[in-house]
Amino acid sequence: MAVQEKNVDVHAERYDSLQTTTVGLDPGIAMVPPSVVLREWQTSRGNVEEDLRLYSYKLPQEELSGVAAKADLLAPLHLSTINLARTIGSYVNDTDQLSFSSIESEVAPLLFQAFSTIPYISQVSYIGRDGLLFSYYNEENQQPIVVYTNTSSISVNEELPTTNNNFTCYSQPANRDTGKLYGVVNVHPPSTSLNSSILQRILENTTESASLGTSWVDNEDVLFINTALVDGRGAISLGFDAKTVVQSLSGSISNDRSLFLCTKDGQVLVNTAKIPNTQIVIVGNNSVALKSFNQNGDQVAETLTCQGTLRPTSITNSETKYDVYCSQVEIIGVELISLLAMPVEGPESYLHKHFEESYWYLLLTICLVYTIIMVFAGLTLRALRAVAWFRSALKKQVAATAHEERKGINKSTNYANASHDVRGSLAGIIGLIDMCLTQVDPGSNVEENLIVMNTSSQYLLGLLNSTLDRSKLEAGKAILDEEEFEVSQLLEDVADLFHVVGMKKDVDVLLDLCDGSVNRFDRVKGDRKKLRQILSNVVSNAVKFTSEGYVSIRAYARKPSSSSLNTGSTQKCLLSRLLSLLFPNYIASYKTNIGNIQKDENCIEFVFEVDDTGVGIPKDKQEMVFENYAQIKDTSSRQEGTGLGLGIVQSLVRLMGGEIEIVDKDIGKRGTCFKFNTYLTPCEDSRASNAKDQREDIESNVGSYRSSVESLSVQNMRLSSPDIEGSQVILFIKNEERRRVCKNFMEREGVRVLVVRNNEELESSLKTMRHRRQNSSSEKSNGSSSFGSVVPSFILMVIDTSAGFFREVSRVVGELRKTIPTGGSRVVWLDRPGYIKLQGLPENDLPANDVIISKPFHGSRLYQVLNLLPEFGGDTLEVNPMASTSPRRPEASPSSATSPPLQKIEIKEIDKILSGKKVLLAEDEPLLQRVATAVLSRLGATVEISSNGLEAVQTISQALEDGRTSEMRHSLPYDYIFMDCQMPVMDGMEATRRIREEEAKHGLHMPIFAVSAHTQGLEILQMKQAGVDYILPKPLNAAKLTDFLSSIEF
Amino acid sequence: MDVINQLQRQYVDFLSSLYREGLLDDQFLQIQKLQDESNPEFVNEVVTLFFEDSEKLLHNLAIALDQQLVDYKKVDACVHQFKGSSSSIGAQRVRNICVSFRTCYDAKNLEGCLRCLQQLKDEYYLVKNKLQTLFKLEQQILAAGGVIPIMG
Repeated sequence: MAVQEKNVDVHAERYDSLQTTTVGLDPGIAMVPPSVVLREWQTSRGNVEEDLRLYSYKLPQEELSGVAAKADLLAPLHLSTINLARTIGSYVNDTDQLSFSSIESEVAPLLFQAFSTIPYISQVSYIGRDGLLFSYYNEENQQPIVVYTNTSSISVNEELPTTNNNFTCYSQPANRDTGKLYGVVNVHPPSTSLNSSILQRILENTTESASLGTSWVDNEDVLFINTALVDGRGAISLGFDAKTVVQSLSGSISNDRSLFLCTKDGQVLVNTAKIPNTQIVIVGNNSVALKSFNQNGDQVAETLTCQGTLRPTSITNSETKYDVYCSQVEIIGVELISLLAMPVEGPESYLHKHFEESYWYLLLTICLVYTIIMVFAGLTLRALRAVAWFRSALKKQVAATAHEERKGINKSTNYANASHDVRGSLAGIIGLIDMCLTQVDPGSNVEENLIVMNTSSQYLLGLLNSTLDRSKLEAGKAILDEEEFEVSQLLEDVADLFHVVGMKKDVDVLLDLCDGSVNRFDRVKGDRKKLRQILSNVVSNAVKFTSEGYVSIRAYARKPSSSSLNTGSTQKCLLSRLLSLLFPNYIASYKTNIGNIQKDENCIEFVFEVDDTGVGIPKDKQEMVFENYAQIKDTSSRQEGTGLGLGIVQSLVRLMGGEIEIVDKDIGKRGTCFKFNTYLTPCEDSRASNAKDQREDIESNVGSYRSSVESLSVQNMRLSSPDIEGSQVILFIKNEERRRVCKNFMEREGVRVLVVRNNEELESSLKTMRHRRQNSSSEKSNGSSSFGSVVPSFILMVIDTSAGFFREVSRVVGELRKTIPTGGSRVVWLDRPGYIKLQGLPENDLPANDVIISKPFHGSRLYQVLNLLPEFGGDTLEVNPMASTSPRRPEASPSSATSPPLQKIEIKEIDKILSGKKVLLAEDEPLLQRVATAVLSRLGATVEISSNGLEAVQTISQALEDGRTSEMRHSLPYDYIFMDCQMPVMDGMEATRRIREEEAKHGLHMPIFAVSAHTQGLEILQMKQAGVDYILPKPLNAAKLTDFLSSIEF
Repeated sequence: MDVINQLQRQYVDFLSSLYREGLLDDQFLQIQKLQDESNPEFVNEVVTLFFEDSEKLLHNLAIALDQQLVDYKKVDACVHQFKGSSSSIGAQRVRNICVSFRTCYDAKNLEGCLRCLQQLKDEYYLVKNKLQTLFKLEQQILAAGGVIPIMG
């Protein structure tokens, strides 16, 4: 119990400690039921043990009293001796000594009767006073035998009974049923148990007695012997078999007990005592002593004396404890001392032992369970802590994220504000540049620089806007801002812009329009800004990573084949699949874009390649290039940049439905080649507008400009008519790639091209040319033109001023010039700004019709040069008005030296696009009236004003009426009508409707421009329904109007 | 000559500051470009018209918004006209407020309208002030015999 309580305490302690440590799940609670059960179990166990102890305590007492009770049952046997004696006494009449024969005849039957009826009896004897003995004895085989003496052994002398020495006994078997003697008579030798002295002693007993003795026949056979006198004539002795009696008495004693019986005079009757090394010694006077011995037989201690009471006495022998119980018992008249010893280790101790064992097992199990629970709880606790930690970490993270987001929002707000300011400053810069442009001498280098500055600033402005779009793009919200534009113009702008950048590093940036297919679909609808951004980014990268050589921008257009579209969509590859996982919106928008573009069957695929001779990108890093914030470190350690560029580029390209990739270059070639495509819709009037929309400056300065289409037709015409002699173009360009591009271009246009690589080649080729020319001219004078097609009628030399020793070159060119008649040749100097001056070339010495191109020689400049050729409408010297001005030039100041005689590309002025047109303006507000009038007049129009819709309608109908009468029947009274939407009296919509009705009567249609502050919405829709042709967004200004008018093509 | 240069620089600085602050936009440049020999006083004329218009409109707006029952159609007409005239001369910030004004009266948010009106007034007087300064500078340049520089 104590142990259990202790356990409970321990549990309670743990429980407490657990409670202090854990708040939520408490494993200690699990220990409460086991401890309760244990306590219950322990209690019942104690009860059981107590019961058992009580029981087992009673048990030996009961056993001993059982022995006594059985002994009591045997008490009547003692009486039967006396009774038998009395019976014989009365039965035998003879008062005197009985003779042997009378004994045999009279006493023997009585003896036999008793012998066969009394239980446990094994010997019955009659002893006469004269020493005659007659007894029955039961042998082991239940065969009764008779032992007798037929001679008197004891003299009947009163005083001194003497023992006869010739005491003879005979034994003879007796009949089992009758007791009659039969058979052989044996002489039974006198023994210690049967002799005359013993008989004498029996006879001397005055009363009946009981004692322990041996049988007459067998000394080993112990008997309880009861004797009784037969009224003076003799004695009766009955012997009960002690072995049988004791057996029946001790039958109820269990095995592990030991019973010890002895007479008071120390004769041991039973000793089943199994106490080793212990001897029981009869002390006498109803007491026994137990003596312990050690193994050598020496007495160790006389441990106890038993007084014949039933008190248990404990003795310890070696390891075993015994309880000894003493008691007195009388068996058939014989007083005996009985002693019961039993080991203390009785069933209760056995039970106790097992209970203990099972208790420990139980405890162990509980401990084990507890340990497991503890471990589990510990693990759970740890897991909970981890969860709690993670939760708090998550919270922190969420807070941090929110903070970051806020920061991000603030940042972008600030960014927007800042960019607004930057834009303001940029506008200032641009304004200043524009101002400078007006002040600077036209044609000077400063002006060129200013133009480039202007372009750069504009680009910067665009870039600023697109950076703002970047976030939209990343969120997948970017939309394509479609407008009409010319691809070639865009390409040229980009190329020119980066040519300046590249020039500083001596890297040539050139534009290669390949087969000219871009020109065929020049005017397209698409997102110009984004395309420009893509191109700029890729080209700027190329320039950045190229330290020598060139960067070539190639472009061509083709009809999108279904396969190319498919590859475009399947090329999404792993990266985009990953992206689709991360940014489903983005990809979705991307896909819809693809879908949209694929739906449009009219669209043209434009393929752009940017090829450089720079450091190149290792094959294994090509995938990485398009990732945001990725830079190929080891190759570009010197380079700055965020690494954001190509990621954005890729997003943009995909937004426009294309795909960007790195094309493998031929082995042995350096650099990288980026290739991307996009799908743009060509404008319907692409071809028609081509002619018109090419820069007017070229038209005005160089002559009539032809688009590629036209020039192709010219080429065809020229080829078909044999009498026009071909022109020869000599290309002397330093850069190999540019040379190739120019040559390809020229040849495509049907011009013979001679390419020279160095001064010597130039000189030799010019010499042969000169000879041929001389020959042909002589032959021509002879009237034959056998070399007609061989000898060029016109030689155009395109010479890169940085290609060779300039003085040498100019000398060679000068020589050629002398031999060729004026008008037969022209020289185009490809210059870098200020390069000619650096070379020390006396510019004034250059012939007036020489052309200096200080901008990169590609794109429109190629056409420009091409147009110098007579086949393409180029002026010969005779008709060139510039030729006449040239001689007057020498005294011009250096700043203007290059400009007037040399044909230059100039910025266009606002053209009077409306010159000679008659315009009706319906506008109510004086301010807007005034502005619009000024704008329209500036564009050359004659303006009439109506201050409201009704007035306009009246004016129109009046004019129509007048028109009907006048002869100008077919001309419109007004070329254009500009209509404000919101006007008093009658608004723009109503007025438009009325005008349309009026016109219809005369079968005319005047273009009506609605001028609206809205760009979309209900008003626009209503205006369109009313019959407006075009919508002009407010506010009106000259530039916008010009752009608009030229875009709608009239 | 130095005086003229200085004045011209001052003029350019001032004008570009107007652009930078977003008071004026490209449209004003366009207006300036329209001024030529045939229209020597064009800018001045237009701007004066703008001032007259604006003051009238501001007055009308103030009355319209002061009514017990505000006639938003009237407000709309005024604001629309204001937007048209301000955008025509390139008074960008005034125009922007007109746009936000519109969202206010679309929502019939009188409080917002009043706030917008106040902003409109503020911006208008600001731009008026600036433009008048600009004209003064112009006149000084002209008086000194210089040419008014044209930006853009």
